[in-house]
Amino acid sequence: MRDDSPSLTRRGFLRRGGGAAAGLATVGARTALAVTAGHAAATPDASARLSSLGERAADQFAMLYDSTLCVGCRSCELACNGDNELGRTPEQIFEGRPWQDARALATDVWTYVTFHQEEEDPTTAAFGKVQCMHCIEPACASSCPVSALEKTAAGPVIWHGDLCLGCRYCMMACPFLGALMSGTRNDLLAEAYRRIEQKPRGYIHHVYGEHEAGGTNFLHLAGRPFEDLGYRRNLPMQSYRDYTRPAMATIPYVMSGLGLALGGIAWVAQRKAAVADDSTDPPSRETGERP
Amino acid sequence: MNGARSHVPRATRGVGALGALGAIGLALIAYRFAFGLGAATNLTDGHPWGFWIGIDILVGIALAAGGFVMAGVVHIFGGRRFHPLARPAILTALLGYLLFIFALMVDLGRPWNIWRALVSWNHASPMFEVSWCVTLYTFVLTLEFLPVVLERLEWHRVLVRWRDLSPFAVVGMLTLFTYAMSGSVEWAAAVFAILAAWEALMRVGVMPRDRQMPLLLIMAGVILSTLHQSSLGTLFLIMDKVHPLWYTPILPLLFFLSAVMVGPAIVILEASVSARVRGAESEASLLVALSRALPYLIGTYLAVRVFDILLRGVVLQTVTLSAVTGWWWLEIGLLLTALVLFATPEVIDRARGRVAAAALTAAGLVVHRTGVSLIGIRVPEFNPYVPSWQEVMITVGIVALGLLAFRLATTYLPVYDDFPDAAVRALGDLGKGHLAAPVPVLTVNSTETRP
Repeated sequence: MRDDSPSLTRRGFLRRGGGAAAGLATVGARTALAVTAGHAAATPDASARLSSLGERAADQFAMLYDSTLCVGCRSCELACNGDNELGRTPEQIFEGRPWQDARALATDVWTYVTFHQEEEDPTTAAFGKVQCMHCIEPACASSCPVSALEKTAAGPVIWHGDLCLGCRYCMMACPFLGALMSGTRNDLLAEAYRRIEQKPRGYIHHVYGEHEAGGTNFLHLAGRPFEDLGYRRNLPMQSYRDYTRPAMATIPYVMSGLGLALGGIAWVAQRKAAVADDSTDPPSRETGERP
Repeated sequence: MNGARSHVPRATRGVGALGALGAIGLALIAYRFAFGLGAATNLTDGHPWGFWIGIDILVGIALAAGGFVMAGVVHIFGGRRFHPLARPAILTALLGYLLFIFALMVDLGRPWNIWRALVSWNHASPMFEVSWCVTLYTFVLTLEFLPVVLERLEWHRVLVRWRDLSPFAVVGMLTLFTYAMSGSVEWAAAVFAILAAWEALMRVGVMPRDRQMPLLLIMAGVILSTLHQSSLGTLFLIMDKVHPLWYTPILPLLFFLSAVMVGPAIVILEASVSARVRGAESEASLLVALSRALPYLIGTYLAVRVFDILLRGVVLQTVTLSAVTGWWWLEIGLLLTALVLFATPEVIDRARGRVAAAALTAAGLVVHRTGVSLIGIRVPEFNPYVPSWQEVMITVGIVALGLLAFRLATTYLPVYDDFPDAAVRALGDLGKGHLAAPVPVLTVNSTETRP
């Protein structure tokens, strides 16, 4: 096996390969860098990415939810159920489960209101609203193998059921479990900060959705910590697509890098075998030798 | 196959048991399609991926890696003495991929839409890459295995046609693949130029060539496998539900290294077990030689895995008391044991020792992949996922059917006799008109398909 060691064949290849070797080395280095260093190396400056995502969505349609104004009437749940023909009765929506229940989005639950209060003290009651966040660069649309999920130019993320394979990768990728105002995203951001400025003690000083997961078209304001209201905390201020983008970007480098390397190695190996066979074997039995 | 006949009683009992398990699996698959995923599985909106993705796909595809590793070793890296191991490995891989596609159809919610992956593109999706790679690689494996069938039928003329035409199929496939993945005409042209250049150099006789197996076919297998073995890891990069013991930006690298590590281990297992079943001599000296490579492969994987844990600063996670931590130590323990066994000459000199070490290697891989896809997935809002018995039995049934198909193929096809004399003569005669070429022994000019 010593003669077949990869380092020897590679050296042999480089000796013969000449100019091709330089190209191979470049491609190989780029591949190794991108694969091993992961997203840190290949992603442009994070804050620059965030502001460019924000610019992309500036004039898109968006929604702003202000938790401090929400009284928890849940008519948004009823309206969503009706407009989207989800098939649940008002009794199922209002009487089936109290707010305090752990709940989740489902095929017939596209939004729900959450509730939180401190130590049974009704004066601290606050609400939250869970639904699709319509990310600027959504994890679901990035992960879908058939582009069945589409971030439309107008803002909403929509699902093309006729394309869908049912692979459920989008569900694995989505980081969200899921007083309302609508407008373009930039106008709503301005409005959100105007409200925080007017009542600095009434709000948590954070617009949930401005940068979470790279930014979303659904923005939230609250007077209590967001995690208390059933919002996911510790979300990355980065688009989820950035997590797989560098790995996907290496494909053409791997294709051409391996294409060059494997051919060169095979050349050297075949040549060596041919030289060996010339001195020993009859021509017709040069491969498939037995030990 | 005289050896097989002398073991009829045991083989028949085994075949009967596999047939029964396969039948149960098929019945449960009918149940799943009649009543839906919700009825047949314990999957939920919080845990939409379960046993089938973890075992059938992540583990199944890794266990089929022996095909590209052995094909590459034999036909590209000059390890021709391992040729007797390459054919069974390619058959194992081909059956593995066909089974994987079959299992995927059971898992997909809308399997009738599967063809859309070929026309509705999304360059950003790792799943898009996996679906293309698996489709193309299954086709490449079919082409790699075709000579075995053609030799059995003694269709030597078709064999020659196959050898001449399959490089064109490969160049076309990989060029289209590059374009589909990058959306870049320039990259597609670059890949086309590289592949076409090698083929042209071989056809004019500047570059020596393997007469029995087109180099481009093997290259395509290695390239596509490298990409999608690693992109199975890329799939999980977008999920922040994965526990820090498994989530790392280098998941693609870990998945590739572990596939390369487990490929030869499966070849050792397969060769040892099928030699016993057939009552034939196993290729002991080759298996020992192969075993000598395993400590390096396992060691590389373990080193990268452990350094990654250290560099990401999650080393304290490994000393907590929890089932998740236990699962991590189980992986490391199994692989360390396998490493020590493979590095001990007294162990790998004995068939039983090789089988045990190879089985431990495979078990270590199973623990890592289920760690990424099942144990390490945290969705606190939902109850933990435990597979239903139907999910488990469907997987068992599909594997049983695969073993039956392997047995059938090795009984009726010359999988274990590489290149019977007649086939070698048929291909060898072709070269005779070109003794004047620079490397006459290995040069075959394809334009002369008629002797």
